Amino acid sequence: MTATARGRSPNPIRRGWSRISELAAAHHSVSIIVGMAIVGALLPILARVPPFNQFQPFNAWLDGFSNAGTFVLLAVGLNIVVGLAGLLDLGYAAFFAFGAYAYAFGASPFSGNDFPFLPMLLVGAVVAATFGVLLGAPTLRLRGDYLAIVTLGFGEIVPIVFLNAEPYTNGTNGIGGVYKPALPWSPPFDVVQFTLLNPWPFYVLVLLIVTFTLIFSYRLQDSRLGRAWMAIREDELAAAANGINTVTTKLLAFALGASTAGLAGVFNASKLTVVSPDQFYFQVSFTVLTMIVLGGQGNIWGVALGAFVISTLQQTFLKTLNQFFQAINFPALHLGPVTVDLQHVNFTEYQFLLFGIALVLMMLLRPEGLFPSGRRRRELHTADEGPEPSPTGLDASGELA
Amino acid sequence: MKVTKLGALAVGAALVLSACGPGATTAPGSAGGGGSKGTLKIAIDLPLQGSDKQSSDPMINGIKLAVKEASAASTAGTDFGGYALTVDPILDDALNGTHDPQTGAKNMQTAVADPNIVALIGPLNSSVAKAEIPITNEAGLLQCSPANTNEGLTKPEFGALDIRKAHPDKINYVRVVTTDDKQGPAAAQFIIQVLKKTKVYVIDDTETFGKGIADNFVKEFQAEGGTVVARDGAPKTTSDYTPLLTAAKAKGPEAVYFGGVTGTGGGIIRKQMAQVGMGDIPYVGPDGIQDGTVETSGTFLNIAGAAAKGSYSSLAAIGDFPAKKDFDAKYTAEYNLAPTGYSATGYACAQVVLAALKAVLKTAPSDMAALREAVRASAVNPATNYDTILGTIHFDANGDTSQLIVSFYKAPDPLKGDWVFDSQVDFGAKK
Amino acid sequence: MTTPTAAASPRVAGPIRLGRNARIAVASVVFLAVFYAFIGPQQFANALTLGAIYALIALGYTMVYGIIELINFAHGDVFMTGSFVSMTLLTRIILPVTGLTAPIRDIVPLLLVLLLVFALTMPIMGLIGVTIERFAYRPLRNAPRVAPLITAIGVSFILQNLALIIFGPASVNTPQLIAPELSVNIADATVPYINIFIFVLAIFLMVALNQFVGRTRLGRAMRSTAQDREAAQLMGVDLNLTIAITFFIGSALAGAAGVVWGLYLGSVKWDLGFNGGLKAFTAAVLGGIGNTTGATLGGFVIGFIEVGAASKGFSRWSEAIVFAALIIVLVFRPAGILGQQLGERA
Repeated sequence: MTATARGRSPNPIRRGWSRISELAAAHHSVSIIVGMAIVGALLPILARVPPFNQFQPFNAWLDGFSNAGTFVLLAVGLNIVVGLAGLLDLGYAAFFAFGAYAYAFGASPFSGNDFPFLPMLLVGAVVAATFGVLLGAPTLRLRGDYLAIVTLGFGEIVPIVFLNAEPYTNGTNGIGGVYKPALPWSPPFDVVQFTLLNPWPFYVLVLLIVTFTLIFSYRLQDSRLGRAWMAIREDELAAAANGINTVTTKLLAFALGASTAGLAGVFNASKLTVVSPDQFYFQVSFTVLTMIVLGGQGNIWGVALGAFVISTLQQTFLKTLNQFFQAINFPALHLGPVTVDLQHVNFTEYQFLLFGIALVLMMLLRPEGLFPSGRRRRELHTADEGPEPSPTGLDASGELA
Repeated sequence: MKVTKLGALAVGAALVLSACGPGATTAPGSAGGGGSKGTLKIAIDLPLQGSDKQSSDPMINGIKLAVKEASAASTAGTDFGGYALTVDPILDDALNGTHDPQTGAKNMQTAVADPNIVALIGPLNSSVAKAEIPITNEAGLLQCSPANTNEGLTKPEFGALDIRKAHPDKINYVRVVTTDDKQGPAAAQFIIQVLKKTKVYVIDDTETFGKGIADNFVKEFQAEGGTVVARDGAPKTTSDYTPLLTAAKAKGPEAVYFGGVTGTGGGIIRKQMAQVGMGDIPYVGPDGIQDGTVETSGTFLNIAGAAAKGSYSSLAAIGDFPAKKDFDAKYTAEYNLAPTGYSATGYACAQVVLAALKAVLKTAPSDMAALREAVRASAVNPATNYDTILGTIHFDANGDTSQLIVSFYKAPDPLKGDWVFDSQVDFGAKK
Repeated sequence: MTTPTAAASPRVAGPIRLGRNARIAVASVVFLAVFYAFIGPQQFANALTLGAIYALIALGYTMVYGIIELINFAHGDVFMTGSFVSMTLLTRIILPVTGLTAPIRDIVPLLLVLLLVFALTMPIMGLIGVTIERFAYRPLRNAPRVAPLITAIGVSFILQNLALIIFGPASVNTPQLIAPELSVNIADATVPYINIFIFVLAIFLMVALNQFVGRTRLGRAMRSTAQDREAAQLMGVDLNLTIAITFFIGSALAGAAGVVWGLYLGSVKWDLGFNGGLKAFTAAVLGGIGNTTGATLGGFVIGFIEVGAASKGFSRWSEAIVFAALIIVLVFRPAGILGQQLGERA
């Protein structure tokens, strides 16, 4: 089964695409900037044209895109840990929390501080990275699945600490009135002013942060460090035998992955203006994990796209899917004792069920994700050559080298 | 494999098709009443998923009933300057089955962007309100909550100025229920004066509402000379409360106060109290456990079952309002459901909005933005009195209701039907 | 009489050497005495009950991990599903058909109904466990380790949300067959019969499991598969059957835990499995994952930690304390209290 698939040559579209990606690969930073500029310009246009403008007002779209941007940051960061270095982290939301609280301490009436946004962005990243190292140092010698559980436990503890350390965090009430970013000069146009009613500055800001993170992430991936991560992911013993300091390398993955979550935390805190412990429970970690698994672990633009799509689905489409069924007057189905009336189903309630089904199917049928990185795909498909091949014929893509 | 791919395709196609559906603005609760100049919208933002939905539904019904009546009473829309009224859109601030501040904030972007929305009713949860008020405040959109009780939303001494930062002096958020710094202390007075108990065990759910109200309760209870024998906090993921209750029982409490809602443990705690031999100790909780009848699955009375006897719940609003009988009859006739305390507060919020609209629309507004601002200014004006179903009220300089009444309900005995009104504490009369 | 435990890594421990047993027994008694003094008799009874339930769940984690080295993340939700299955059986079928109402106060019908609900719930959950293994884990048996772990998370989501959709977000009442107010006084403590029932049942099931693993052919197949899958296969062990049976037993025990949970606390909820499962997993790790005796001990330790924290006024921190214990054990003694050092296996 695998042999026939392997022999097939790529179709013309695939060939054209690969030429484009080769070009892009040669000029990563420039192509990311150009790509993000195009995406950044396209999204607001899309939000204004039918059918999208029917869903919600333009500002709500733009606001939703900014929320999605937060998740793109989280996914790109988690991808460094899970996708590149192969360390399963189930408590990633903790680092998101560190970033958000760092900003809340740095710029809110609660703390009395008012530090400017950009330096705080850096502080948030550094704080999160520090905690990444603190968590990673004692735990990274653990085997993969134990590490997953330790990070899960850590992710559960962190919000409890923020919840109970009331004198410092305002406890369950959270820190309110967190300052918005302010421009250092008085802007000539209202559209660049950070106000809660003007989603543009946040949109542009998150585009910039995402662009920066993507460039950073791509450069990391192509660096010596990135190759070391992938070597560890694929065979830690062999990597160590080849002179890679596995402990430092893994620690760096944890720290750099966490720092991106820190950026996301600072941005989100400044946008939502409230930071409270209940924003950082395990649902966030698991949602981001789903995003990168579906997007394609290890492939940076894949996980970014996965995060964007899932976040948008979650925020907008699932909420209005029942209206679609109302519009086409979809009949209620009577299946024995069960009546399924899709017109009155709140699809957001099914979101985690859909996530679950997607995770299982993805792992069984296409473990490399929707937009896989070639290397990751080869690794995940070695299973097919094991003593018990999976019955699914995974390699229809024909790229198994 | 093929089948799955097809399935994935079908799902994808459904999503794409859904994009071609009608907008999010199908009018689910449009009302008649005529009017030629167009339609004014009253938006709702409440959590419509999970256990929160049980509280939201009666409010939505109350709001729709008020708007329907007002429209019917206004021949050809004359009361409202020739405009027709509709309850639309009904926004859901829940995500993953529970209320979510970020979703609430995004909903506010939707609401403030629609010029035809003159006011918004909601939300249910104070944590959501905290993320919403900054936005509606900046936009100057009138927001009336039928349920928020956290004092930090309105009172400057609890940090409310941080929330309405854009226009600290231009109040846009009002509520018809009183605050936790009244509801909690009222429960303390109730336990000491009505139940005549002085030793209490306090447990909260560690969440904003539950912990806040329990803190307020404790302060007042101690000020009135009572003793808090123990204080615990158990997150909503707790399912076995017997160790906590066993420890508390040993300290000899005469009553138990729970800060939280049914979904975060209210009913289970009462049930397990019976199990550890505390079933005959009175149990008092806030409005969060007053969520429906014995027969409705998942309510406090339903979960606690036989143990519910001897439980009391407060409502941060008047329970024994003058027109209660009429209102209950109207509501039951319309929905074939018994109203809850929240039906009345939802109805009252709508009445406030409608009265403000009526007053403003005596003169034609220059444009929608001016209308929105005029409605806001009129509604929050402390000089304006409103005849609501709850009684005559006005809003103070922070947007809090002048009616500082907290009512107490007790579990029905025999165990059938809904909570029974017991007594009420009026803070307004005392001062 | 079989496997020497000192060898390589016996993930499913059989009967162990007496010297070791004696050491464990002494340590356990000391531990129990310390906790008894610390929390008093009444809370001691609570802790034993809670610990017994965690131990039942922990057994499933430890057996599955022992045999295929998978943290079966969905196992906690199998427990939760078991509690809903037993609730449904009782309220929809058993009680209506027999015309009885909970609590049942006559001893004979009570025992019969209890027997019936366990006899139905445990195999149903066993079959659900086997189904999950067949469709979600078996195809990934040779994949990199994170792949089945992610699938397990997916299965966990599916089970949780099916329960959420079918039974709603609120707690659902379940009949307490044994009247909770019936109790007996033991050493200054008022111990309800239900607590005693749960403890005795859990111990019975654990002993039965130990006998099964230690003395039967299938048990031997399980132990040998745990030690060396390929060698076991060469010796004629049917790998798929052995793994399926492991899942069946583990899930059936989780089902039993689900039944007693409902009987004990009278209500069940869709999100029960996440926390319950994590704590049981912590118990399995604490005891030395792969080691059934260890899982039992670990379950009681977690029960004691939780009850201890709650009874001493640390309720707000009790979850953090349990997870901190997990992290500390994993970092400093990843093999747990009873397990041998396993070392990194890629």
